[in-house]
Amino acid sequence: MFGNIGEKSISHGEEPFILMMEEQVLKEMECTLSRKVLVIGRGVVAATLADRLAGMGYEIVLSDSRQPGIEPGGPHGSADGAGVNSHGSSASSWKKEKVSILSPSRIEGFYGSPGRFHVRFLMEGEAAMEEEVGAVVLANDCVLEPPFHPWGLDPSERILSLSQLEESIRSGTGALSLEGRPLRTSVFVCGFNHPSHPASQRRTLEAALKLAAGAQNRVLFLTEHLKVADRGMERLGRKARDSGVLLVKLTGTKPDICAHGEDITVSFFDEALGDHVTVGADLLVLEEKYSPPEETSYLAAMMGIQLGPDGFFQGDHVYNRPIFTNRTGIWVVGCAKGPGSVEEGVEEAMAVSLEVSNLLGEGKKRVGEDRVQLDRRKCSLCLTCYRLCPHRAISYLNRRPVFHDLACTGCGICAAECPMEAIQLYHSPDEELKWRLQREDPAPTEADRGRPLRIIAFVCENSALQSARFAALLGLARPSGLRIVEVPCAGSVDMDLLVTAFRSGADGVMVLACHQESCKSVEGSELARWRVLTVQEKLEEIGLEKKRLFFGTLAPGAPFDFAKMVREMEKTLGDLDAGSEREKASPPGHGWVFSRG
Amino acid sequence: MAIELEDVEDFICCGFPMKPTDRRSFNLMAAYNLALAEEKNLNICTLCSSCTSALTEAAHLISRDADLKKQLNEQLSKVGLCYEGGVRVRHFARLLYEEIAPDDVKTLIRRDLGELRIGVHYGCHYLKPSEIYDDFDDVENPRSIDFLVALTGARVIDYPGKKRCCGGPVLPVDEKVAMSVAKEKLDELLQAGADALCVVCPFCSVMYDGNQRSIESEWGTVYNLPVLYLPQILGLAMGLDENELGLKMNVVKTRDLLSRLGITPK
Amino acid sequence: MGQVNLDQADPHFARELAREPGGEKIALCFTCRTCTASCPISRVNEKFNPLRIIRMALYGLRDEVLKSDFIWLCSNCYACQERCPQGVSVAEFMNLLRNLAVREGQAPSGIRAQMELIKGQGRIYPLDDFDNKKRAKLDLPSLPTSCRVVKVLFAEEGESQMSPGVE
Repeated sequence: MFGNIGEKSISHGEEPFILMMEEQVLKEMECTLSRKVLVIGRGVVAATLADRLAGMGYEIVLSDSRQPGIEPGGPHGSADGAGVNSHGSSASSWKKEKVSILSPSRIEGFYGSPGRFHVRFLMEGEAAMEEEVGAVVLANDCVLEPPFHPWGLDPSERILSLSQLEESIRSGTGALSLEGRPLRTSVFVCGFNHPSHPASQRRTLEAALKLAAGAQNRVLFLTEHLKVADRGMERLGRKARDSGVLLVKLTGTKPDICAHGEDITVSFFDEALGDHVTVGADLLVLEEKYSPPEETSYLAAMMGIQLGPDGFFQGDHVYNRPIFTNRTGIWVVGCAKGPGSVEEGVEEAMAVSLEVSNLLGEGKKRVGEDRVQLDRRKCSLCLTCYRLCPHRAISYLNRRPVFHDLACTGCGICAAECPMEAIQLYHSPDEELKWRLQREDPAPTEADRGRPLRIIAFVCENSALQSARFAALLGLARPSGLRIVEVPCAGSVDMDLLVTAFRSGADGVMVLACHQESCKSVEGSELARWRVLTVQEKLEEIGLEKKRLFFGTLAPGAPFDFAKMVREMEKTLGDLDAGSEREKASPPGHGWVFSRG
Repeated sequence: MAIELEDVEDFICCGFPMKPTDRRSFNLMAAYNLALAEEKNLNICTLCSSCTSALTEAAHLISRDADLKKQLNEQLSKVGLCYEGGVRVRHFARLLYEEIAPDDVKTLIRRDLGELRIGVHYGCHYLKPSEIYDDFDDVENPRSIDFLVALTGARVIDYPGKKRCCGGPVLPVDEKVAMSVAKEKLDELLQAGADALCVVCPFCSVMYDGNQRSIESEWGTVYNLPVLYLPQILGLAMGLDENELGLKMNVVKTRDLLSRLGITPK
Repeated sequence: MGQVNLDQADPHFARELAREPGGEKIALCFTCRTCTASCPISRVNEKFNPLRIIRMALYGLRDEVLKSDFIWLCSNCYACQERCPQGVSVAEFMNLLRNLAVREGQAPSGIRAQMELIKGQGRIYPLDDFDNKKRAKLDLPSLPTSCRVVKVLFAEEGESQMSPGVE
């Protein structure tokens, strides 16, 4: 009845359910991309990534705000010596592959597009340097905040942060020697003032294991939850407990820690015991909170990268897969995007190197030339498109906007927002859409009296279209007069198009978008909603009911939501028509309303 | 198919009550009984769940721990015995279930007990610890005794605490606690409308039968629930008379139950 | 108890227990409370809480555990052991604690009486002539009223009996 769901062409002879644009081939051109990669960071992850990319034949620029290289051990280093400095000095291949280390340096300027980013560096005492890079990877290490203040304690010989203990264990000095007083009881505390993380719990357990190995020691591990959802953590937890580390789980209460002179007293309410427990600790080790790298907000603002709610790189968006940012050509790995272990960061570095090579290849790539078309005669250089593009795919060159195909997703927001209608999306230009709308749904005549209600729905291909197809597959009932127009993003439906839909004889028009938090173009759904509200006001002004224009959001796998929305729309429209002069007067949307014709 | 049961007069306590207090003595007593059986080249059929667990567990341990075996045999030598291993221990209900039922039992049924609603008490050591019992029945959802009782035509009822402990081992420590545990189950059986409770262990019988009146007077409840051993139930269905079944020795009177079955008590 | 001070507890107790049969895996306990939820005694008496007892042992509260009356409330039903998701032999652990308590001379009078009966008579319910008369009435053979074997088997009592592996 509705033909082959997958078909893109419009079938003749039967009423098409889904109006889709015919697939046409983009004109392509070859462009040159820089084979240089900017890696921001100085630790093991950055070094590994640079190594890997250099091995694949790319040039690397390593930059960090601090001196290259970090201390071995600790959360960011590896056991055998860590960081860019140590690596760089030992790997002569780096010089051959031209790895340049610009650290410490500060990024002063950043613009351009994937394959051609322009970066300006400032190094102390030197003139600014400019580099053109094809890709950027954010691999800086996060900051570990000293844990003492939230507990109301001061650091001392016996009160340490986890990193300090690790250093002490590694170097064999410091806290563990504790001359004069045997290390009888050690207490480790994770979480409570901040959410603990498996990565630091792993480090804690490993350190606790080392202390428990001495048969004289009692080791307590206080935390809210033992977070075993990480590689090998379940096993590590068991091993620790088998070796005598006593796990104390406190949900809902906090331990109370007092330090007076040499004495440290830890008290808590053990839920399993049903009693308050007090113990004197010879050593207290506090977990640090992982915080975003220092320069995160600065870099994010400069590069247009979204930040997450906790301030790390990578926005809180359902489509953000682990190493991707909101910008093509810019990735993030390791602790720059959240607490994690070095091992994970290194794995991510490996994955990112593949992505980089996918993008940059040998330095030449065929890209679409006319995905977005600009009518220069109409362009007024207002830069609205430049400012609005959620993918930062538009830049400004020689007094006109330039659309970068590698970053462009074809969402159409620029085309919809351009106040001069100077931008058209190749795949769904407005004129074409309008023409098709009018052709498929010619202005109704007297003969159309009693016909089914005509509903035109603009559906976003990322969500509503999938649900519509699914609904068709399930055979869910839908209004017989429903026509669906596929759009790349709800944000590409401009107000003019909505009006045209009415003019072509629609009794009702719907715009079905992704949920606001799930819009792949970030603001597309919201923009669509705002436009619908605006047009609704206008409709009211001219005497048409607001309800004839509907805005809704849904998920890609929601056939029942879709079916419900369209059926309710039909009912609403039916109620509006009932009792009106419809039967007698000419149908709405024709003639007397939009007499421009 | 017949299984002959031979009475071994020299059997002593299986050692079960010694486990919490003196593990070595427990092992020794169990090993002694096992050795006696082995001497006569016999497997053991136990009449009590706790004995089953004690003897089975000991046999299990001895077969895995050569040092323990050596130790025990040194002690057993004082009474002229030695245990090599290989005595199989099975509870009588399990034996019936695995070797005799259903056919050989069905042929002996003379009287249908369909009048009766019977709840089965599995208790603890008939099924647990599970690793020594070869998975012959499901610990969380047991069926074997239900099956045997159902062969008589009686209606086997389900109730929440079917698998729960009788509380017996706590009796010498805290009578009130032990009786509270048993009481819970009696309440549930009452609510489920049971006409009788089926047990397979004398320990459990002490709690439910022997102590039923005490529980009634302590908490002011009334049960009048006859507690029958599985063989007594099967025997009733086979037409054995009440003397043979020892029904007079049941503490809670079975007279009413018998008259329901049309048996006039002598 | 109210307030527990670990500085007075024995940090080696847990390790000591881990070396004996029944104590092998108690450190793996992650306080899920399945044992307590399955326990028939816990249902009727708050004092007996298997999880709490394990916890006390892990903390090293040796005296509080071994001298307590509540460890004797365990009915050895094995429900806890069957269900423990970490494979802790909870029931055997209770037996281990009680064995230790007996070694140190702590046992409730009822239990001690029971022990004496078994070691002296070879039975938990001793038989006498009266019982044999009742048996005769039912045509059952009479049973021995005393037991020589146990006296021989347990002849060398008085020495430290319970360290496994030591005769």
